[in-house]
Amino acid sequence: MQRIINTLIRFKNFLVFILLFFLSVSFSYNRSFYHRIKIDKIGVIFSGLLYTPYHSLSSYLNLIPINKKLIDENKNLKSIILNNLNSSQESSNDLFKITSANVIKNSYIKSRNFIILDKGENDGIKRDMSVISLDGIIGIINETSKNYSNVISILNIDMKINVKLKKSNAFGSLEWKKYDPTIMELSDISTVNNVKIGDTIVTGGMSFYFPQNIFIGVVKNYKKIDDTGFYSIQVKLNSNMTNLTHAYIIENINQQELNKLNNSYK
Amino acid sequence: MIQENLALSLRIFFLIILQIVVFNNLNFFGIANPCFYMLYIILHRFNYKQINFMLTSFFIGLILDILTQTAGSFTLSTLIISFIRPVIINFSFGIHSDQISILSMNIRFKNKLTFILIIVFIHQFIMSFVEYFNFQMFYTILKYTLINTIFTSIILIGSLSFFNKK
Repeated sequence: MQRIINTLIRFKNFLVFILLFFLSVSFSYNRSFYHRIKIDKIGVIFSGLLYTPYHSLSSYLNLIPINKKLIDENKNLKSIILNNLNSSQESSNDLFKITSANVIKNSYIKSRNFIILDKGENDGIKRDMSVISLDGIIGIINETSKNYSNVISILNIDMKINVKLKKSNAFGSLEWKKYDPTIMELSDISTVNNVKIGDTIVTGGMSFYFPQNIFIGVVKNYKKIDDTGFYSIQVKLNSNMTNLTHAYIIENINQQELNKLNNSYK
Repeated sequence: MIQENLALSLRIFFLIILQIVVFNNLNFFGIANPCFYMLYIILHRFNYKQINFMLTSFFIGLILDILTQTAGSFTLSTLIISFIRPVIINFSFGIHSDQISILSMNIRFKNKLTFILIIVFIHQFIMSFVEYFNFQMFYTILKYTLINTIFTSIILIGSLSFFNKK
């Protein structure tokens, strides 16, 4: 103990310097938006570098189940292509360009969870693009560096997603109330609509982020909130957010045009 | 002791006021604003406690940052320069570095000039770097650093000779 204290006293100048240095950096971070973005970017680069070796090892060990998943996915895609060829209606999916990516870091135990993907600006990834997995949605791109990008997970208490009940087309917003990474809460569905346990929830497509009709999950439980005329619905997610390995980043080709239109009415 | 601290606070106060009111508005060539408050870092006693010196420098920078609406460039540069000052003193004065202050030193002008130029250059470089915070603008940062270093050094050497005469 005495030794530790002696060492601390010997390096007191340096320790005080480090403390003041971090105070100054946090001062810059909070004072200027430009510095905040730059410092965030450095953070993304470092965490990307840090988690890449770990990811390359674990992805090697997981090759067999991943292959199985890929085969399943190919099967699904093939069926979609066939369905599209057979239907006479024009598919809305032509508006979206898809890039695949590996999940390098995934968190799901904090209240604000973020995911890091191994694709970045070099691959054409931009802020606000949406990210989906094979069996559900994952989140929205928040920050990008040259080779990595940071995704706000749907398991983030600040995130609200526009969804609808597939059966009745009733729109609502889905948000995460912490604790359980498999359950999310759906609100703003009016009690006029009929809801049953097991009903399908899909993306609404009212925000420009996600294409509509992506399967999210099913109704696990619901109750009417007194005096409001709205349901409070618990949704069981279809995707397992705790073992993500692959993600698909969706670029809405008309995003700029839509943003322009949207901003012109503000 | 109290008297000494009071004198120190007054000096810092006047330096900050002068910096904000006069020297921040000079705009030589449209870009150069000499950092007159560096007189504090240069003149401050060499045998003063390092921690206290770092704290006072940090607060000078913080106050300047708050009053001039900059994003931490003054704070970071004064803090770092106050931390590495002993090394620069050893480098520029060699065996004479055990003296109390630059004013009481009977030493060649060359050594004093080295000391001032090194301190001012490092300080200005950190300041411009934090202000731009972008490696792609390295040449702009270097340009600002050099111009500001020249003007600040001239003003500091001028005021030092003023003190010496007194």
